[in-house]
Amino acid sequence: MQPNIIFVLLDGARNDRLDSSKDFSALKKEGTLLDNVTTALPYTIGAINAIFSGLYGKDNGVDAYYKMFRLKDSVKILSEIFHENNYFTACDLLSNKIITKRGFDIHQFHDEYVDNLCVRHPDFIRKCIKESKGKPLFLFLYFSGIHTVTVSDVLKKYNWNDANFYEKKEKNLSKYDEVFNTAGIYAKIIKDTLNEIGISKKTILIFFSDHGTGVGERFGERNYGSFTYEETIRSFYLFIGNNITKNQHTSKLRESIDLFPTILDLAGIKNNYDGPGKTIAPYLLGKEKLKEKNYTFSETGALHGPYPSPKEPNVFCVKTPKYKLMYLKTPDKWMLYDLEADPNEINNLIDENIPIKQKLKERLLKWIQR
Amino acid sequence: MKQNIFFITLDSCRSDKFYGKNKTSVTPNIDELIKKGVYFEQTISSADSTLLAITSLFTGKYPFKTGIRSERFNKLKEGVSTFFKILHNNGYHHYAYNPTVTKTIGLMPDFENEDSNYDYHFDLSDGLGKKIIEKLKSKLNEPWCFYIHANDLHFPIKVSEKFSDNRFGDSNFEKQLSAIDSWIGKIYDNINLKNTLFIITGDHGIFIPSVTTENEIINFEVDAEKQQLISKINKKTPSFLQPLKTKIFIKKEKKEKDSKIKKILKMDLKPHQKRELLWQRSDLDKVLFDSNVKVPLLIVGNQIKENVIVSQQVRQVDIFPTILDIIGIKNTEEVDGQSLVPLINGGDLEELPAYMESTPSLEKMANEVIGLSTSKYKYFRDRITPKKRVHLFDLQNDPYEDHNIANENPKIIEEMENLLSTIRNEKTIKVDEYSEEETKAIEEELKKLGYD
Repeated sequence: MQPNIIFVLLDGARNDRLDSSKDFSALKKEGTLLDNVTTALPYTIGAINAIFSGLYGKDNGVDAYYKMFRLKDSVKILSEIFHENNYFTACDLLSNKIITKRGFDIHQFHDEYVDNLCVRHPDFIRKCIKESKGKPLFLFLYFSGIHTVTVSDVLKKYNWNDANFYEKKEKNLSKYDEVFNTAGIYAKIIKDTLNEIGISKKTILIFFSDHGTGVGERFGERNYGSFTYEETIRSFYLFIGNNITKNQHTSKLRESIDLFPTILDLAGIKNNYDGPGKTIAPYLLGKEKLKEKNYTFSETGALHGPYPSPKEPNVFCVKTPKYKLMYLKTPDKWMLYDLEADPNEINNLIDENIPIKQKLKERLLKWIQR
Repeated sequence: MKQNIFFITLDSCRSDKFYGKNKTSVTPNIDELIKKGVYFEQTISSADSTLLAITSLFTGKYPFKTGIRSERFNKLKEGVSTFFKILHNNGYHHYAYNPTVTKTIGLMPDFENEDSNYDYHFDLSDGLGKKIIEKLKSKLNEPWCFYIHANDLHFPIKVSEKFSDNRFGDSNFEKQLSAIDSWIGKIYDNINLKNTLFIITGDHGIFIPSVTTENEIINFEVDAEKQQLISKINKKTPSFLQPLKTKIFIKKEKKEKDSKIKKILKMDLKPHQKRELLWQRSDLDKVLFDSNVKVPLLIVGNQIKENVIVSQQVRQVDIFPTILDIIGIKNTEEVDGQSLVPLINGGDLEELPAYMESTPSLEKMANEVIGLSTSKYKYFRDRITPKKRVHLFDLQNDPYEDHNIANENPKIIEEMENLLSTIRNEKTIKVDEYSEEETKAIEEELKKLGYD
């Protein structure tokens, strides 16, 4: 029997604020949490296309905001694969352009300012069960509450260079925690809905963030997409399911494109995917220890900010368990951070004598130039 | 018995300095060889630097199909066959003298001579020429393919002392070409053309910072000895001083460029002369002018017609299929090139557009370009964004590529983009990278998401 896969995006959720919600903290105990997952691109359209294709943006065609309609025809995404494998596939998104309709039986979207997702999504799950006629479900639910408060509202109030925003970082963070609390409530409701319907045991529920959200940590990053600092590229994944190890938590380095082979493995779907993502299913099922990745990559090109580049990426980074090397193409600037000693990425060590620096430069340039 | 092959690639050799009215070098041997064979005067390289160019040359494929972008990062893709492999499978023995840099990428075969690799600055006059001749005089297992990659013209050029007089050329480049010519003569004397195919080509071109006007020679070529000394010191610099070294280098390069600009400010120079003079190896804005990509191609042999000059444009990727065709080996590999034998025999052959690309920089992100050359037009633009750094030249009316006519010729650019897309097998992208309709849809969507 193939499990239902319910994939729940908490758009903009920061990995370091999960415990600010009691509900989410409680949920963590019910499954396995990975809290150091590098998103391929720290903005929703790019991030979701990467996750659904198991490929970096350059390889799937969506490596810039303006490439939102350029997902390559040759790339097969999760919804298509699940659909081909007799799943009922449905999504409820913030916008119908977040991910292509390809492979979805239902492809719909909500109004972030009007719809109450704590009601809408439980109803949507019930509706899908009804319409699936016994088929297993592949559902993608988009929780847009954090986006509404920290993106749409912030952008309306502040220009990217408005000092007022960056000056009240603490207040921004407090506001962020408030809204993340609603995300926790929403997540609990989704989990409870599965219990109520009686499909918990045959469902793998995945709560994840596509990227984090800056609250004013650094000038130029009003929310996300301008740089590749931890507050925006470090995402998390919480897997809950009957066979998924409970109360397990790791900070080992992985990347969002690993989700593609992982989900297929969890659903028992064989696929000839040969992309850069590597499955973590054996770890989730308690069969293997988690292997840490030596290198992960992320890239972006901002809509606003000091170095806008909506048509092509211009900010790149390679991250290891200890270091992050970032390259800003537009001002041609390199930054190196020791993530262990300086988790907030304040001290740029690029001028220091650090042996791994050149190797990281080569790794990153190789990735960019691939 | 199959013919032997003597193949020499002259690094950085430009076609206009090898043959024709623009050369000032003294090359009696090359001139003689041209009379004995077929010379292609419009041969377009696939890239502006060695690695991509020779990979393309010896696979018959455009660089982006080979898996190679830089020697530090890549190896030849699995399944991509090479000229050497095909010859080996047909009983050929491989000998070579080529720089060590090409060893790591998986392009070269195991050569039968143990001394096949040499360090970069080992010119024909430094002993390479003598080694080649000794090897030719020794008993090589036949049929053989003897490949030479000569770096004599590679930056920085160290002119052979015997040829340093101005009568051997206006620039160091041309003087050194005169020196190369003398060695080609000596090598040629040791080759039996009855059973050997003799090929000379270049991997790519280069800007020559020396311009001859009616009144004077303006020369900004670097002092090779000084340059090599700096390189040696650089290599010995501890790695922790690297950032400082880079800063000093950038500052120095900028200072040099500013000084050159100041010097030529009041001179009445054409755009092509200015860009030759101002070129520096640190330039990050890559270009694909004829100076960068037009190379010589000379084929001499027993079955090759004599004294034929082919003016039709041909491509570097055509060289490999042509040689196999001449020596009677059927090529079953899928390649981008075509055999030029019909042209060698005086017949017709469809002229195909030549695809070209610039080489990425290892230390910094260069503004790379891709483009096409036809007998009518030269087109190149930013590798990633089609509308950036667009260059279009009417080669028939503007052979020195002085006037960029891109703005006035959107239709030609559209045609070129379509051709590029076809060659790169991409979904056709309109010249306007994002159509009005798509832009509107994107912007509406971004607005909906709160990104006004």
